[in-house]
Amino acid sequence: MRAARSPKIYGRTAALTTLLLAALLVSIVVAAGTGAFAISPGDVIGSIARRFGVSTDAGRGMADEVLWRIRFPRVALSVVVGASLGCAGAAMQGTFSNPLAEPGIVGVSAGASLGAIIAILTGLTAIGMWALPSAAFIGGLVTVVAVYFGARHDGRTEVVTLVLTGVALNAVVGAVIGLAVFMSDDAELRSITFWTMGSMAQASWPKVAAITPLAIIGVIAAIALGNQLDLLSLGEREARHLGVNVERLRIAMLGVVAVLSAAAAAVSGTILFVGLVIPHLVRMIAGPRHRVLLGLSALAGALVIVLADLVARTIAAPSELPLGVLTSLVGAPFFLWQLHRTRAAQGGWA
Amino acid sequence: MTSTRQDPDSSVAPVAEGPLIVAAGVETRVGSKQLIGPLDFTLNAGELVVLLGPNGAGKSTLLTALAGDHRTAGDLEICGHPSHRSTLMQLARQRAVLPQNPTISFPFRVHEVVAMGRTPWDKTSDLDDAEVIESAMEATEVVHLRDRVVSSLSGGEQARVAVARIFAQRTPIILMDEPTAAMDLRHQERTFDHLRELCDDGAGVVVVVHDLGIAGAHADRILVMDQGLIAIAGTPENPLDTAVLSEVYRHRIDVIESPDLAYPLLVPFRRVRRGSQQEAP
Repeated sequence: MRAARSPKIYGRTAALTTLLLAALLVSIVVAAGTGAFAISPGDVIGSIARRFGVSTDAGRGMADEVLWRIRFPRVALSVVVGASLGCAGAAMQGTFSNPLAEPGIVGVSAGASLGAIIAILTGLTAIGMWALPSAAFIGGLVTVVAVYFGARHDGRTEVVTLVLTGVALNAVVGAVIGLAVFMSDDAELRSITFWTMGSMAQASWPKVAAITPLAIIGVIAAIALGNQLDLLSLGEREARHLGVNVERLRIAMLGVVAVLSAAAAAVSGTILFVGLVIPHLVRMIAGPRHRVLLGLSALAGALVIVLADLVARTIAAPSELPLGVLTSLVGAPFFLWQLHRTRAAQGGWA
Repeated sequence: MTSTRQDPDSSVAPVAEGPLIVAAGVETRVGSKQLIGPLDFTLNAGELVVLLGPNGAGKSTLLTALAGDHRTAGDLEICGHPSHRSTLMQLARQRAVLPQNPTISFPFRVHEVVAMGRTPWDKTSDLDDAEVIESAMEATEVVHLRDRVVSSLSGGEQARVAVARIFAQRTPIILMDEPTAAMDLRHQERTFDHLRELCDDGAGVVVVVHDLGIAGAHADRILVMDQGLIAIAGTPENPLDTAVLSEVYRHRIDVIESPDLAYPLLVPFRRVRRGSQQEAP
């Protein structure tokens, strides 16, 4: 595999990586500086330099306070959540060999949210800071396994079954959430609304610290298995004939998808369609090879969520648009278009 | 496997002496339904075996069984080892398998798909992967398509890419299910010519085809399957009994022999229906 890449694709991948990294850095600085209390990009960079001891000139106390207490945790959380969502989408599409598989659409994010809501309502969150992400992870894992075995038949995933399984699971989760809303008091209600809408408003350093290791492990594990995912695109039997232990790969990848979706859902609620749109766009430019696709989808996902969160909190300032609503507004039409294309390519489904 | 080192001059990975596949009493069941067997089969190095038979006779099932895909009743030895004791990776270096309708899920390019055939040899082979991939693409004439997305190609071109992937795997055993069904004449013949070259280098090939002409021209041995069993076998020296063949296919099959032909030509009987409306020429 090593020697066979054409220089053209290789160049495009390198260019896209550089572009995405540069855009991500710029958008981080811009997002950190934008808000009710405006901070110039120079001051943002200066504040970071001071914190890491690169620069020693006296800073502006107020700006530092806003940056390090409010803006940076939020931007950092956006980066980690976005990277998790983008990578989870690419991983799920690869595992299902289907470009329409996405943790949000098939209900994995909803399942993770449900796990979190159950943890809140039952008071499990009192156990420690890992209780909530763990509950979200279990919820996500149960859903992803349910979808996998529900939607697969003879080693293939039919689009119709996949989407309908997602509809059913989202309905189940929606019903349980409705029940939870019905039974909850005002404070619980607010926190449940947060889970169903998706938002970065509750960002904090402990949350960033809690999910960053999960996101890093998930992305690295996914990339490590990337070459095997390529072979899975040929079909399960064909991958096995090329030496891939398909069952083991499948279990590992479902675990990765659950970890990444749950990490994101545990701190930001349900954010849909990012895992669908991002890998598709990356694939169009850099090709379908999963090693590249998984890494670049993480990078692009981070960029998109940082920018989307910036829009969500500034477009209707001082009130804040829920981030999940924003991504669905953009992503849902894209999903419909993809569905249409897939249908046309397959000659329709009965 | 005693050795997985490859000889750079040969396009086949060498194996220990003896037959490449030995199947004894192999059978496949689904529930209570007996799909194939019990049957015995041996594939020797240098041999090109063609499987013929009507739809549902069990050709693809036999190919799957010979690939060691799942534990079947009976004994299956691949390259001298019981297949169920070999790892998936060892098997991937011993046999390449082409499915009946190769598909691919994402917009991979031709050279990427052919390169997938090299993955079992990652970090073990002395060969230059790029050279092997290039020569596999040359054998099926897809070099000019190397940067095209596979799913955008015609059916025959996709079939050539799939065959190139199998060639790139460089295994001593090659199992193919209707590799040339979608190909034009030139590429059908080229594919079988290349398989013959591989056999001359010590490979063993089992191919399912429906074309009696291809079978007669290229096979060292023809096995005709019927209802899960091998009904008759034929070799160039002992051609197939057309009476039995006609019975298996439930269609009359004739044989044309002529000094101009290098091999006897098997042709299905065709009643000419055209011309009843037209003037005779």
